[in-house]
Amino acid sequence: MARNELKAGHPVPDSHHVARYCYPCTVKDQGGRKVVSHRAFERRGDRTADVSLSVMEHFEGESDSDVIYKVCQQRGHLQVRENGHYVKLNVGLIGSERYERDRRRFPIVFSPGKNPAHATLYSCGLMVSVELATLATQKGQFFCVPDPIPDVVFPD
Amino acid sequence: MERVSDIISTSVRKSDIGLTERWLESFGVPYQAVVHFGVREDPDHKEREENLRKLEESASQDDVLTVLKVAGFSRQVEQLRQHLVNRDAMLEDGEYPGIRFESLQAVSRFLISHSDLPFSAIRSDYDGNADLEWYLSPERAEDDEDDLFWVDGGGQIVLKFVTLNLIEFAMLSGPWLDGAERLSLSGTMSHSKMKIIIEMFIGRMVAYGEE
Repeated sequence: MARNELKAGHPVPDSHHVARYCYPCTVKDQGGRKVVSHRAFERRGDRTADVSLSVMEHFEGESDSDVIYKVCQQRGHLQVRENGHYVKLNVGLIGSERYERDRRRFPIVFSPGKNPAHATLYSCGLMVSVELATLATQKGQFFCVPDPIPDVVFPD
Repeated sequence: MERVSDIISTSVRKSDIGLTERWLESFGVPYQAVVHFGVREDPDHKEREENLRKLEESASQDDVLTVLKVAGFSRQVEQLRQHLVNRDAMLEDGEYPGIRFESLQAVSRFLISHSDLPFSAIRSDYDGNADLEWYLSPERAEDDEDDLFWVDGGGQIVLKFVTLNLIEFAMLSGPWLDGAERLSLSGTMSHSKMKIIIEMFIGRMVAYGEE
């Protein structure tokens, strides 16, 4: 299990995967495949210029769906909807999608807080949102929000 | 062989207005429909100018949306209204500032000025900036083998209206594929310069969820 490789304040290893919740209006079917809007990767509500992600390897589960269930439990105040999606992306692929210079300067950093699996992609300009959306459309794995939606689990 | 449009433009450049007018009328072309150098005047021009004038005079968000609806963008207006309602219900107090009036005016002006654009819903970010976005169709890319930067399509164009006159934009011709070159543009442009960039890609732009 790769969980031990995660250290707060350090970059998340390329072999890991992150999940991001996408509002229903940001994922659409187009010609039989899911197309993701840049709006799925814009910052939400807070005042910092970053994108919040959850590191899937932090959780144990028999399948990706099990892990997504646990990611959903850690959503805090984020309001998820039945018709929303989680998209799973490989950290190394995200690095490839971005320019090498930006990748080094702004890696995905493991930053646990209320969400113990939380990671942050800093410097979220408009182009970063577009890059991530393009990558998610091409390589993302999509998961429906668990039904029923699990209650939020807050850490002690 | 000389085309009629060439003859018209040559004729206009000679600037014998009376003769030109009579000559054009013999082709059944009203003189008012021709501007210098043979470019036909847009028949919707006056209506568009009128809508732009009303837009500038708008004092409230409702005024702007009314002008936008009259200008033929009722689908965008209805979707935006619904979006604002949904968002208010979804987020906590103070978390979302709505849509800034100046930004709404700017996006409306852009749409009315460039009504040939494919459909894009109007949305806003957490700073209240309105934005538009389009998907770059992979299917259309297949018909365009000569384009070096097109890769296999699947990119995006996003315009964010940060002030009345400036647009922040990001454009990616396609996803990263084993280091293949792709076009990646971003920055801030005036409305008029942005139109030039958009026109390079307009044939490939499609609305999300539509092909």
